Amino acid sequence: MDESERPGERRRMTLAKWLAEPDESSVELPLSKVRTRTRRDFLLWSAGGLFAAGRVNTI
Amino acid sequence: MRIMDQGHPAATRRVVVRHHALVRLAHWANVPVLLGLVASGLSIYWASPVHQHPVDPTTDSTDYLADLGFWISHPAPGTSADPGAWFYDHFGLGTFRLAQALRLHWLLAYVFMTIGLLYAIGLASGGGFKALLPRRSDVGGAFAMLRYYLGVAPARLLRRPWPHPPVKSKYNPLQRIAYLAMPLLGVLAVASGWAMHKPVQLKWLERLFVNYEGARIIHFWTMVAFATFVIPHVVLAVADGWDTLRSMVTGWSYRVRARHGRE
Repeated sequence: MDESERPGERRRMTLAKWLAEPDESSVELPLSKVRTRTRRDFLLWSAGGLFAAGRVNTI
Repeated sequence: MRIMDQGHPAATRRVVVRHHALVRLAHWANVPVLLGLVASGLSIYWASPVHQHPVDPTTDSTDYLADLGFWISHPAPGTSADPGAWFYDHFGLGTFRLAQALRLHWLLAYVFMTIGLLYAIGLASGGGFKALLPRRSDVGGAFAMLRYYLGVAPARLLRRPWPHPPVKSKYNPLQRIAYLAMPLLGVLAVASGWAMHKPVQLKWLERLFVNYEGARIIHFWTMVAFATFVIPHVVLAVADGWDTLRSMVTGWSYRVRARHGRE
């Protein structure tokens, strides 16, 4: 969630950095990014829910 | 929370990152997995109930869960073809499905163990476990939270102020106790499961539960504890509002000012 990188700069995320617990400090994010990621995460969540429900129906 | 000029391309929103992706993945993946484990586990339990009583002369039942089915079916005759199977039909995979239930139970158990391992690695290497560690003030804090939860609905009805106890960390004391108990219960469920599955090869593990029967009792009661946790967990999550549910899906919360006020 580090917004300090410049446009075009590739973010290098190490595994340790990715695994680190978020420090709960507030960050200012572009609204478009918040919306896009929220939509993506809810789509993934719904797909997972549908997949699980589909598996239950086969039992 | 702040939204600056929504129509402008540079509009921003202030958010707080609350839940790591691994925590969210483990949380939601465990929902169907635990449901499946409980349902298949009940069908395995039916074949040889852990807790039994002398034969009931009226129903011929020796199983408390079958009694529950008789008790529920009694006021509404015809609810179930076999009243003794009512509980297993509604909360499990049904009766006489032992082989299928065992296969499914083990499949889901492996998924559960994989999720648990990923979660444990993430917590240990990312430092997330610190938020779950009990503190000295947790006993008093847990009672304060319990008092708050019990009184919040009557206070709303009576339109009286009912302030949330101050929370200075990620979780309130009651949450911390509950969220620490869940992984520990998971370890207990897995250990007792392996003790039952391989009582000869893993004799040392079986002995940790005194004997085979002890492992069965612990395995059954960890399931009860998981099921008991779900009810207040879901009620409180819903009562806390949309932001709480959304944060468990997306990872971030809009409650910026709530950081040191309440969870």
